[in-house]
Amino acid sequence: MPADEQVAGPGGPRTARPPDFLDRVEAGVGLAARASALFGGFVLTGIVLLVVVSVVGRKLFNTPIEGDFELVELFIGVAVISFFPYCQWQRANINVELVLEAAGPALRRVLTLFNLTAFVAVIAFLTYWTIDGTFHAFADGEETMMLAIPIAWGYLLISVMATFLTVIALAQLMLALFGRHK
Amino acid sequence: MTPLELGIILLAVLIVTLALGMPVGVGMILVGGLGFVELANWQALFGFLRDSTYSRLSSYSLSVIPLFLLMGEFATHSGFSRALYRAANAWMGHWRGGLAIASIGGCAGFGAICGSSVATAATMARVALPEMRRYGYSGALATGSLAAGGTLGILIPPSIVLLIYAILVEQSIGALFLAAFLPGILATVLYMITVAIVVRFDPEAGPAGARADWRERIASLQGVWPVVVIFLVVILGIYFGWFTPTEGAAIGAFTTGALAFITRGIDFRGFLDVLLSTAKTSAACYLILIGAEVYGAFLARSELPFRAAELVQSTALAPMAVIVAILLIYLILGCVMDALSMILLTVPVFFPIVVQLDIGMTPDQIAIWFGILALMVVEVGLITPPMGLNVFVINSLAEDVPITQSFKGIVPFLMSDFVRITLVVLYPGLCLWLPGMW
Repeated sequence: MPADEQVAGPGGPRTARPPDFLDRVEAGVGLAARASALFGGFVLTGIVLLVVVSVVGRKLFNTPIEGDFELVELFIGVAVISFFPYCQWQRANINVELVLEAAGPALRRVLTLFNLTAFVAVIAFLTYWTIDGTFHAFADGEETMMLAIPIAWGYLLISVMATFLTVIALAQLMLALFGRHK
Repeated sequence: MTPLELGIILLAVLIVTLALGMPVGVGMILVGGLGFVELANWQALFGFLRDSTYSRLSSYSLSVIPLFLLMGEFATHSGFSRALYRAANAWMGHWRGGLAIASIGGCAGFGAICGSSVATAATMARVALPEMRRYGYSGALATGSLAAGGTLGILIPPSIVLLIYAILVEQSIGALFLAAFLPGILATVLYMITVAIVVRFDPEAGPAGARADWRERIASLQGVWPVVVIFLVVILGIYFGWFTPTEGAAIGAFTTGALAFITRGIDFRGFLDVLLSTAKTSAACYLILIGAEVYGAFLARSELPFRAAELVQSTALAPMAVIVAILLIYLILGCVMDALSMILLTVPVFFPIVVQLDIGMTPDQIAIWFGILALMVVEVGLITPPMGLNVFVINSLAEDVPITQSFKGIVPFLMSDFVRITLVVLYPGLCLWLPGMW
């Protein structure tokens, strides 16, 4: 697939006028989403290197990286949740386009706002309960078998990034309400 | 309201919400969550949600998905598509319709390192489309062959949809990948025959290209061997248990990425683009996976899959009729829905029905066979109107070809798909033999 051309910039071509506050917000949110995705991408690259080193070590030198399995579990969650804001910002989540494409501009706008609202509501709800789960995990004090990594750390990292996702999605909805970020 | 009634009502609600364009994962969480509360209570839902998001995101077995997506993105940004097309062209380009046949060969090769259809179609099209147009190929044949060839990306392992099916029905990923291999080859050969038939009736559509001599042919293979090596190491390594699927995917991503850097296919900027594309597709997959977790928890409580299986059993329908009916449902759904959402929405309901059918196979054999069948049928949706994603992507790259021409060009390939699906229905050995289950 082609790389995304317009990421941080305001969505779509626009008549020349000095950028106002909302333009700056839009550019800033886009940049933040992109930065988060790249962060996740580097974490994923780190996982690739970790696993390759571990497999080579295990097969050739009989010395695997101890607990690589647990590190993959910890980091993959962080990487993937960091991908979410960018995906939503790019409207790349999978949906059925049939009605949206057939709809006129007014209905299309209503449906778009409705769907963005549903996304924010659901994500905020999941985030809230994941944060709640984090407190539970800290209270339980459970640790992984090999490296004794507290399970709660994984919860905590995911909670932080999920909160960030909620903020980005909320900003996206607000911008859409003001007729931006088409 | 009985759980079964509730299940059916919420299914209808889900269909409406999805039709209105809500992200599939969000719709599944909403409907699944409401159903869960109706069957249990809010406290139970909260308790479930405390851990479900975390456990989906931090799952070792699911981590194979972003890793294979990363591998596919590296492949897309590397020069492999060019090398594959050049090789296929050197060997087959001088046949009548040869450039279209070579495009299909190139797609098959590319599918061996990329688990996504749209990416395969788009990547090969960038190389093959200009060539075909230069030689005066008709818009219908040029775009049709590439859109159809792209579906090989999802069929020939590795395949993201097959991975998720394997995890859903708790079957070995390696066995399913191996099972998809022969049907993938069959699809490639049938598509090539389809091109040959098309140009037989309409020689103008695909004139022969230049003939390469043997030295060029041998030389062209040089760019292909890394693809073959990566494919064999990853697929066989997973199957024989040399490493876990996650490790196989990481090794595949690493080698593909390293080769892309060495051959100067990508630079650091390109690498960032790879990461961004991976981020986008991975997050889209995971949102649906999280949705499927909530929706699945509700389905399990509603006993809908269990009741549906009972119902089908009580009707005493011929087992094959049940299979055909399910495949038809997939064909219809596929016209408006993507493969991944379809698999995650329907397999929890259909699988319990299928697995208890008396068709002279063990449950494991049925699981593998049905997975390959479902995969082939949902991929047909990628090339059927009105939402045939592959056709739209290819068509957008061919500016002078009207979309009606592209859909016209896809028809012969659709027929070839039906021939193949029928063959696999009638001869389950086609997928079960290679993983040693026949």
